[in-house]
Amino acid sequence: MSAKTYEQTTSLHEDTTYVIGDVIMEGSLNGGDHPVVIDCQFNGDITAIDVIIREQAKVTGAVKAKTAVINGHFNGNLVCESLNVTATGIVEGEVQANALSIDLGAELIGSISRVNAKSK
Amino acid sequence: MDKLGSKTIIGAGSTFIGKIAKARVIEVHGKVNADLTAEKVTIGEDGHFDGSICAELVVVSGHYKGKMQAGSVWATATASISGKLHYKTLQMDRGAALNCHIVHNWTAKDASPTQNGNEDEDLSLPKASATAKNGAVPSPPEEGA
Amino acid sequence: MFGRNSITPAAPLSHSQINEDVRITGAITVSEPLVMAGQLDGDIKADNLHILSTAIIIGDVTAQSVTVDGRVIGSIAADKVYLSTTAHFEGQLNCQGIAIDNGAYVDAKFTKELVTNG
Repeated sequence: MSAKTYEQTTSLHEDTTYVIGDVIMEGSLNGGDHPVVIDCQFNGDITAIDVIIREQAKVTGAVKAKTAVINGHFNGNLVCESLNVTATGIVEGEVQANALSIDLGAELIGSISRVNAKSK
Repeated sequence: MDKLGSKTIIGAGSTFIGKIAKARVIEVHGKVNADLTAEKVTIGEDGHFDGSICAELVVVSGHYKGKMQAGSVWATATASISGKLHYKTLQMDRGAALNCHIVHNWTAKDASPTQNGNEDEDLSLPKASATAKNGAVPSPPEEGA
Repeated sequence: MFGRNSITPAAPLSHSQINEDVRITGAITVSEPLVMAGQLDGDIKADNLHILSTAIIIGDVTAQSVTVDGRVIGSIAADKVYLSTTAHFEGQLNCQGIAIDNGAYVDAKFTKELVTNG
């Protein structure tokens, strides 16, 4: 399942998890088989198939996903197969990704390496 | 862009364990194990919420377990509430299952459980007897049912 | 000195070019734009550097702007770095602006540092 950009998701699906607003969430989020869109402050772990971190979002913690799109601020450990950091994205920490796409303007601090054994 | 407003939705199949703060509107269709303060909480038919909720409006169509302090509660036909329910106004649809300790017009100082099983509708439900018997404070109800 | 080959004798180039059959061991310092298609075992200091897909650089790259289509193993210190789809990069990356195309092989440590390049 490819990561839908947030703007493509025009209607609310009951399956996608949206964490939006001024809310502050701390803890462990498992998106199941469905995408997770974060637009708030989130401290903790996220495990999902697609993770989309929106521009205003601040995610701190460990994220494990198949595809990750980062438009906002991410700090922590990221393990994914395909990563897309857009121009507004800030990624700090350790990233493991096999397919990378980083747009000019993105900030990267930390390290990027490959996922060798895809044991997730 | 923010056509969704500031609604948080935990989708079906998702699981969240932790704390949620400053939520305004939250819809739970998955499993949530958390303590929550919000304005409006909706627990969908497939939703499972385990934890305390303090909200203005709570619509329950799924499973809830924990302590709920709410202004307005609506338990729909598929609702199943267990634990403690403190409410100001309560609507129950036929079919809702309330297995909880229910307190009406709670205030902060009435936090101690008062025996006040207010159920608006006559439904063939198992009464809120199991939890109500535990720790019931034998004081006269303020507003008679 | 370096074994530079000019490709088109007819048109004067505004940049230096190192062709793909060239293998160099040593350091390259150039102030003109440089297009690198060969192999280098050593460091490069340049302003504007384009590393073609046939190039293999084992060493440190210092530049203002670098476009990598080939293989770089070592560190890159630049203001702007662009790793294209065919890029293969292992090492350390110090740059202000970075763009990476889908498909690039990247195994790197990133820091943001201002590069003053001479």
